Amino acid sequence: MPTTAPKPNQQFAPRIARAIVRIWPAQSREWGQAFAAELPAAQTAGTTVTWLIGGLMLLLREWLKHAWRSLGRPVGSTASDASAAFTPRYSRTPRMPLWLMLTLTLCSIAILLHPEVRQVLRNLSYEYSSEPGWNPDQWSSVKRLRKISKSNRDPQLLALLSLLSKNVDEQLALSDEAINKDPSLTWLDYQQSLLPANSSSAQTYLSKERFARLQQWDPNNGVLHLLAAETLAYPPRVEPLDMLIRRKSKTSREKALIDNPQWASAMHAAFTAPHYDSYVLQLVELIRNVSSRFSVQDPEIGLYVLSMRRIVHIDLLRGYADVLTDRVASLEAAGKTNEAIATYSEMLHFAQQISLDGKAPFEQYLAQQIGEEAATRLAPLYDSRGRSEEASLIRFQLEKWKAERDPKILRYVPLHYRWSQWNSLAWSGLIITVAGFAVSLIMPVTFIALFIVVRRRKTPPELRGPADFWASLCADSAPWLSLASSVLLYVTYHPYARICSAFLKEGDTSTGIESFLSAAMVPAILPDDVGFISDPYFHWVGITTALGVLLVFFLWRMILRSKHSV
Amino acid sequence: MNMGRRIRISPQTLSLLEALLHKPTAWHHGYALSQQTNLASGTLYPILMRLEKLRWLETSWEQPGTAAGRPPRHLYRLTSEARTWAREELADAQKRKFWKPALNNA
Repeated sequence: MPTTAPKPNQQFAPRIARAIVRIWPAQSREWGQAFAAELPAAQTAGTTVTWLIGGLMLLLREWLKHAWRSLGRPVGSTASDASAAFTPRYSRTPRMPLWLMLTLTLCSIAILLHPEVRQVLRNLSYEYSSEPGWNPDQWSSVKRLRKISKSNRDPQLLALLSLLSKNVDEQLALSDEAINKDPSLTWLDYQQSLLPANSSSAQTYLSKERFARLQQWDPNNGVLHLLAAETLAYPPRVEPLDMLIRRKSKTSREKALIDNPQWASAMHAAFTAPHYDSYVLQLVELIRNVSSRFSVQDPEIGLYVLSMRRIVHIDLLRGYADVLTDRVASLEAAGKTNEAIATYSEMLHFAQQISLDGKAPFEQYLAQQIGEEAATRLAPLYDSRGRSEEASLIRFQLEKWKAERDPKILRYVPLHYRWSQWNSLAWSGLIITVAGFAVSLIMPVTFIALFIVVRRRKTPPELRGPADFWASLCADSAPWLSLASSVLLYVTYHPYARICSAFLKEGDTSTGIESFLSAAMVPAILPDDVGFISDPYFHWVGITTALGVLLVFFLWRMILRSKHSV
Repeated sequence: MNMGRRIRISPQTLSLLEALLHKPTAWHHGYALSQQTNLASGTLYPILMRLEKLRWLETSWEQPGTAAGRPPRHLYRLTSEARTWAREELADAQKRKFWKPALNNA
């Protein structure tokens, strides 16, 4: 009798069916066997495959059912237990021992009580509070300093509070009191030379008396001459700031300004002044001094004060440098080499001063730009006059600037936020924000779940309700989640917190201002792609969607309960 | 048993009830029911499982050795109470034009 070889579907399909039955959940395996027993009835390869696909779908469904039901069973009972088959619906008890739940929760609390974590949570709450803008009056650290100042009129404390105040009258009163008590704080007048700092529409320059006091205190500072020139260039501060920049057609106002002897004299004084100081170091010392003496280690204070500090107008400097360059070109054309050398020397001197004393990256950038421009032209002029020693000194300075040139010097400037370093800060900010929100949501859930579980641990299963069921689920998961969020928050913020705390220590010279500013602003920044999550519109959409989904879910459950469907 | 109250039944379940009522006292097996109702195994078995859970369906295994070369099959038929109820449901669904019979002698 001839034998026919089995078709592939006859060969492999029973093996697959047997495998399906083997991994079928035990409590409904009979149905798996029923499905597999029908397989020989399928005659063609197509019907066999269709039958097997149906079997796989059934298997998946049974596994999902099995997994869901296993969540509701008491610890230690299996699906096949007779007791489990008849357990009341809400009888679930937590699978994790109570001691473990409490230990995990205590660990989370310990992490959350760490000063760095408390600090970052406070910063997040400032950032996402309903109060719009940056308002130091709302910060607990500032409130504390204000309280201390009621009994202790320490000049340093008053100076810092004047920089933190948003009320112009209060700012001036506090800084006056501080300067009267300690004249070495007169530089406050420069920091408050354009108020209010955060509103460009209604700003006014400092009074003549204050300006005179400031100039008398520090007469050789080029920055104060720049301030005088600035008040002439932008009286009401409504003109576009780039009006003096080269290659833009000059308006009649700009021409008038260039021809204004007062402005030219102030700028000349600034460019030839013996030193250049925008009082950033004094500001940093003030923050460190008050933080350490009054035990208020809040990076947000440093971030606010340093971000709001008075900066010189880069376009004013660039504009005057361009005026000088134009002047030298005409002097050279007229063959007045000595005058040309004097003008380039003025530019070079100023660039060297900024390079030496300027603290901001943009100041260093500008110093190199103006300095290189002047040095490149000055060296051949010296050569032509036979002053080769001076020419070689200038060439040495030029090479030094070129060697020190950092193409990423502006990486901390927010306009360049797409650069990699800024992005890494922003991603840290995102992790901190997400972990912070997770902790804020999960910790209360953990406490409520633990409270219910402990309070009703002796309640018999038949008397347990939905609250017990959900509390037991939360008690199993929330302590782990809160611990994970707390650890993530601590680990992510810790490197930045270390930078901030090192910066706020008195006498520290290792941490730069820009590093501190970047580290301190980490909790407040988000990557460009997810920046929308800080938008109130997004919050509204998110909450409305979540409530909508909940409503649909409950309606669906109500309909299901009112009708049996088969 | 929920025979006393009206329940909502899907057209697929109605087709299966029709097939089971085709020979009401006879035992049916899954593949034949699938052929009669045009339901895929992934749809057919969950309905059979639910009917069995509601105790409207009797189940049994074929005696070993009934057919050589293949495993015993699982067999199904409606309980006597369920048959009456199923006929009412089919008639009602037909009256509401919710469902049309596929077999002539339902």
